[in-house]
Amino acid sequence: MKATKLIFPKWINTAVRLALVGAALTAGAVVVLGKFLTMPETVDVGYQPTQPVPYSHKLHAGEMGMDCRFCHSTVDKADFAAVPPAQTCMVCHTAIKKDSDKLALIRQAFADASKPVEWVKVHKLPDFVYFSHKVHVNSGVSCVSCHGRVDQMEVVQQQKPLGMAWCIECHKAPENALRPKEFVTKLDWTPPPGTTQQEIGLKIKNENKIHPPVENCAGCHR
Amino acid sequence: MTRRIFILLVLASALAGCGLRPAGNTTPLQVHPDMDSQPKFKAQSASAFFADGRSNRPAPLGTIAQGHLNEDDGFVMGKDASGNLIKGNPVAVTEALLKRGQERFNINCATCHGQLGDGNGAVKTRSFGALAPANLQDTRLREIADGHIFDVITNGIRTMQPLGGNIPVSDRWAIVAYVRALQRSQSTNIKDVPAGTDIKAADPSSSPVSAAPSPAVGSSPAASPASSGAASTTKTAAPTKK
Repeated sequence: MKATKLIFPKWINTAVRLALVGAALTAGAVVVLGKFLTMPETVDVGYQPTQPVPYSHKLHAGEMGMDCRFCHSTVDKADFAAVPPAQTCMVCHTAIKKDSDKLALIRQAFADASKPVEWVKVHKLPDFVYFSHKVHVNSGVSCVSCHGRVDQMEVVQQQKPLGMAWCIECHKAPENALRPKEFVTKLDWTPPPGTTQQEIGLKIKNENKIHPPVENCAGCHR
Repeated sequence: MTRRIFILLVLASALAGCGLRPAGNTTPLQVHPDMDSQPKFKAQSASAFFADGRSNRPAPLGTIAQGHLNEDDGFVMGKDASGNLIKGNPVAVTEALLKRGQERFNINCATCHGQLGDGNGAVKTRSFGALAPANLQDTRLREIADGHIFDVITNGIRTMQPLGGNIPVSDRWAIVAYVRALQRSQSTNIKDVPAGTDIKAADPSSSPVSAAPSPAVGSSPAASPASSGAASTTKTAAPTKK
């Protein structure tokens, strides 16, 4: 009996194999890219919006040594660390650089409450995360842990990922971040000679019974 | 085909590794928007609903939030029933209050008035005299009523803007108490030294007020006027009489 003519040409075998390998690689690529391209480290770190007023944290908090809480006065009293009203700027700027063009928007906001300065939020959390500044700051977590060395930033930039994996890392081992409360706004604080961060952190953690939520979702999500 | 995918994969991984986001102004990419942005009012955010565009609602004029009413005028306004500034501090002065006052003074006042209250804060130095903060060591201010200091913190004076919105009432009284301690620390004399204290270390010709140890919070509690002791003995040699 004469062999039936093949419906598919022979090279199709190779093509099918190649296509299978290709599909596997594509799936791998999707997984890998899906992971790395959406990580907070990739999409969020480095965010540095231009602010309507070129306020320099480096000058005010760094060189002049102003305490973070002079402006962000609600940080140890409320969940939200407030951006100061123009009045706080005018404590000094009614007299210093009072005609500067850079401060025009501040003067406008000060004169007319309906025209506030529209500062751009840099460090954002999703709306389903209920982060409390008060709780962290009053437990001894420094500003620097989440915001970096803001006192060295001419323009504030997001330096930490602020993703959940990153939060949990610290919630599991808060001793790596805790410091005496009086130094929370001292961004360049280091453990005194002869002690380590872990020793100090553990002591504070035990004395104040600090147990941040790890497996309790409702600790941060409501 | 496979080779192309492979090259693409390597390139993309390399990009992801370096961070795709160029440092700068671009809004963070939202890969999974999920419920990141919920239509709710958040602190200090804008609102299209209210006429003034704010989501933070100011209290209606003439109202006080429940539980916030305090009828003690002396405590809340620094004035007695007839409207005169009260002389003393309505809060009991304890070491804890002075420590709190020290912390709050260094946060809210020291940038202008200096950590010693002598008016030589960073602002005065940097403004080249454009702003001359008051010297709290001045005799006039030493003798002024506590209620006056409270009132100035609350409502401001001359170029000083009101800070009542930034500093809660109880903290303002803590600051008043600490200002008194600062004034005391800079006007000591030999009679303040407890009998039997060794004061040989103090050299009468040196240690002007500006060189006195600054009462930095926490770092050197011994130098704080809140804790009497060794630190005050070195200052006894240089009483400030102006």
